[in-house]
Amino acid sequence: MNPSYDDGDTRYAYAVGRIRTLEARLLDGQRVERLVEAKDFEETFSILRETDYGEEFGEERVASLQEIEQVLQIKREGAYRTFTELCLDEEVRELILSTQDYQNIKVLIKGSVTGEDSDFALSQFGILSGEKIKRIFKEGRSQGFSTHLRKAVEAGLSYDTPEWIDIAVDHEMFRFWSARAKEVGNDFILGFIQLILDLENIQTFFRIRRGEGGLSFLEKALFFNGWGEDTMSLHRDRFLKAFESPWEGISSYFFATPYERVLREGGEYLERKGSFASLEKLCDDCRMEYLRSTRLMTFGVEPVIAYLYAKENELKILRLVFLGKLYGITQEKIRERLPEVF
Amino acid sequence: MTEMIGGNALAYAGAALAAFLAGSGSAIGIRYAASTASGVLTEDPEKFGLLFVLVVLPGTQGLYGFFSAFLVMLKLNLFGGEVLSLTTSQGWQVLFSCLPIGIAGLVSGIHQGKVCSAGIQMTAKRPEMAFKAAVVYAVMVETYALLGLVVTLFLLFFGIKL
Repeated sequence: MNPSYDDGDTRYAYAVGRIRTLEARLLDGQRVERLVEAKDFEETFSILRETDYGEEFGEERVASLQEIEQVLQIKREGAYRTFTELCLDEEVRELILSTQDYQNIKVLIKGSVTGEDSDFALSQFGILSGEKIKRIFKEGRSQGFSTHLRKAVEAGLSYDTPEWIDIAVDHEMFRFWSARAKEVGNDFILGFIQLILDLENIQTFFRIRRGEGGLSFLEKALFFNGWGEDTMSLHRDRFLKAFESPWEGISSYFFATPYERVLREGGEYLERKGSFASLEKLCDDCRMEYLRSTRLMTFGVEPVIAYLYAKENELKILRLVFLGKLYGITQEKIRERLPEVF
Repeated sequence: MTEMIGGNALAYAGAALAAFLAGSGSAIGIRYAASTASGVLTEDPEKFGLLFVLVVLPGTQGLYGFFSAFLVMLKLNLFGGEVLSLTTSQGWQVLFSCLPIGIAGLVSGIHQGKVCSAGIQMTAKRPEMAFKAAVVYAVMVETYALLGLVVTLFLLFFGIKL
């Protein structure tokens, strides 16, 4: 695939036209605010009837949280179908959809360790369907996987705690992503993967800092440095040095990086309220801010990728709002956790 | 070498270049705009009327090129019976007269297509901006194709004595 050049990859002229129309149908900030202020489910449904969700919430068949989840799943499926249809580059398609394969591998390994049935959590949107991944995994035919997935299975199976299985599989995923992104040679994708990697490291840093395990645990859990020291990526050493620092001083280790605010505000909220809500929201906002840059691109695969994540973000917002309403969480608390819209 | 090339051949080459270059610019430009419009219309067919102007705008360069080529043919009396016989010098004059619209049409057609494509994307989100901004910006690119046409016409009408 050619990297973005000049005005972008003009093969995507049709795709971007479709994506712009779909983007216009995403929920805007005002509507999300109205959803947060809605008194109950019924009022939430009536607001959603004015939107792209009108058909699904227009009938009375949606009543329980389970049914709402089904609707969100249908929308998610639609977004993945659109992405698969519009992404013309197989390498990029595989790169983006592989997240779901790795997710499925984590689910299956954790299921086999705990002995619990976790089939309901399998994603159907990967390169391999959830069923296929499950069949290959259960039959113990790792050779049925591609090399990168086989490595992830082997890495995950060498641990027996869910936390470490996640970390081991994610390490393999990022290795595959970085290698594939370099092959693809698209600056936007390289930057996006770097961003996800840095944000994962930030969250891992705070989780281990709050929990047990100490510095040696962090050293093992942190992902590699991405593309090397000549980039804006956060070097592992920064985290290791900042680990013992009091929370007020952590952000100084990340001074002049794009993540200073995330670390300062997320860390402060975590220290004062003992909740990761603000940190997670700030990380989501960072991702959205990066993806919003695709609004200025006339051609290329970038808007197609951004739409997929924007839709996922929207579904996350809706899920949080519905859960908030169900459990009677205050508007203020819902707002604190809600990521910004695309 | 140039003496061996007939004046008429050079003039025909000029006419061909005007039509070919400007037409190619239009074809490429329309391809960008029409592809993007097709994407928008797949999701929202009601916007057809709004997008139509933006899709056809990059097509004007091709018409200018054709018009210039046609004028060259008229000037040579191609349709009137006996075709004029041009000297090599006159042939070169005609050929160079055709280049402004040919080159300006090629480059502006491609870029206008990109501007129209961006305008179509804007219209998908903000239909009220279709004529306020999208068409206006596209017309700004058109200006330079028009200037190319005017220069070609002046040169053909006033610059060459046949």
